[in-house]
Amino acid sequence: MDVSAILEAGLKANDAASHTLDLVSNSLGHLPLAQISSDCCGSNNYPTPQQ
Amino acid sequence: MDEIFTPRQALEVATEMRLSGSRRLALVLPTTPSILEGKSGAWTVVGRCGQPDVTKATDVLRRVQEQDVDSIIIRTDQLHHPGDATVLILLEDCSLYLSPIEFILNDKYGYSLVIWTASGLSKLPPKSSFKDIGFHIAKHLQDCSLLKAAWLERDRQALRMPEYRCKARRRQLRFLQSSVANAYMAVPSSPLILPLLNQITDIEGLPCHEIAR
Repeated sequence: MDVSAILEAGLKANDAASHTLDLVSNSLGHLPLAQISSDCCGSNNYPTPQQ
Repeated sequence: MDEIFTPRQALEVATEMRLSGSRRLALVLPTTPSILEGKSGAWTVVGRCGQPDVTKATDVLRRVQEQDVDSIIIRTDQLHHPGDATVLILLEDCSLYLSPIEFILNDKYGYSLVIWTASGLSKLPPKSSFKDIGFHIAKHLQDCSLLKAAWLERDRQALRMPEYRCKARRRQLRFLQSSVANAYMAVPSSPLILPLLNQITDIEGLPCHEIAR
């Protein structure tokens, strides 16, 4: 069994997982919350559900 | 120990080795002010991301595959995060997680390891046993404590301990459980909530070595 190859694959998998987590966190952090608030909640005018 | 072999001296000796023709050297050094202030020159430095001139372990491995990277400095003491330090080694009096980068460079890519210790440099040829590498890296980290205040990564080493990681994971799981409960507060009868909370409780109940990873 090539242990170092397994270790290397594990390191790369961890790296990829961290990268994905960063992307998700960044996306959530950049949601246009102010816009959602003024378009929907603030005006009490909820968007019409898509047909 | 009367006099400590300084990390700066280690860098000078290893640089001499490199200049005299040694190829594929990986030098393990602690993070101290004198090492951070000095120029790393032709050395590629592996450590925690976000610092100047420091490369991520996975990026170095990619470069090693693509081209010849002769000399690498590994700041092992910076690689303590659960994503970086994934190899659990069991010592007589404790166990701790180490980074796999030294093992991979030595075993797969034929790098000699030159490891700073307070009494001098430990040299391990390519294809050394994993037991030897683990022993010498653990000794390196132990000797870093002798540098006292000059060792800048001292306070972060607890992250290597399975007990510490276990406590941190359980804390995160309790936070997750609260968040889930909070999210479903308006609909407490939802069929989704109980299975979800039970699953988190099941993970919390796992033994420490399972949950610390």
